[in-house]
Amino acid sequence: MSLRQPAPRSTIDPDAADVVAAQQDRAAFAVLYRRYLDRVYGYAYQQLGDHHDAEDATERTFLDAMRGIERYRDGGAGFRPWLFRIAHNTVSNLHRSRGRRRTIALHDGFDQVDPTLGPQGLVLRAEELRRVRRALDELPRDRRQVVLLRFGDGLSSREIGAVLERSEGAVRVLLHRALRDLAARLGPGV
Amino acid sequence: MSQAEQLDRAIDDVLAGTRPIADAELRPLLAVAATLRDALAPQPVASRFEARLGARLREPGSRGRLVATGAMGSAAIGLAGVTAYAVWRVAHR
Repeated sequence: MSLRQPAPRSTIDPDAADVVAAQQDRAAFAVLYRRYLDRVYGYAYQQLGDHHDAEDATERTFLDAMRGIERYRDGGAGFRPWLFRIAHNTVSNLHRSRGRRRTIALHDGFDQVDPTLGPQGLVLRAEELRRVRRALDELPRDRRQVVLLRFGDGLSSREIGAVLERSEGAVRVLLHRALRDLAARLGPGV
Repeated sequence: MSQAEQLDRAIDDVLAGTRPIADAELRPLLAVAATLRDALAPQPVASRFEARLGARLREPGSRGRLVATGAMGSAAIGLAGVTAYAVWRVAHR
């Protein structure tokens, strides 16, 4: 089980000091890069379903973020939604330019299972992961986006609202509907 | 508090690995939430990619350098054009 750092409920941006440092000295951007590389890459990978495309999107996101960091002003949501908004736009542009239908990454799932499970356990777990990913892929786009940002990247509903330009309440409703939808698709044996 | 808000708060607990306190109605949804947390665990980034992008980000003013390279290229094309014209003029005198 991997745990995500829960999104802070307070309005103080935990990245604020590092953002100011990066605005004054670009070398300091490395701290933000290291902190968010995995999450941005993970988001891109889940959206694009291909490691090379995910690397491309991640590279564009961080290069754009570094170029834009001097102009960044916290509008209340914080740095993290700002960065994910760039990632979201980059992924959307890649989808458009490549004319590719969005897809959830459907790899074999074996790289995410606990190796201590044993051969039979490994196969069952990988199959469960595939089932979850298929169910996610069948969700309407807005619900799927919210699920990926909430569970894959650990963003709060408020932060997701800032990324997708929706209210916090609207994001919560989407999340609620998405989980109800997934519970129905996956059945009681989740 | 609405059900959507209750669920959202309980998801914070699921993501943090603590036991959420929620109505019986929400429990099946929280089971899905726990499954999603595991299924959507971050993918590992290739170390070669991490190093390459890190190096690109450390390059000072990569956009400025592109502009300078473009300007030098244009100047070279201009110079070649002037030289070609001069050669043509000499040849046709």
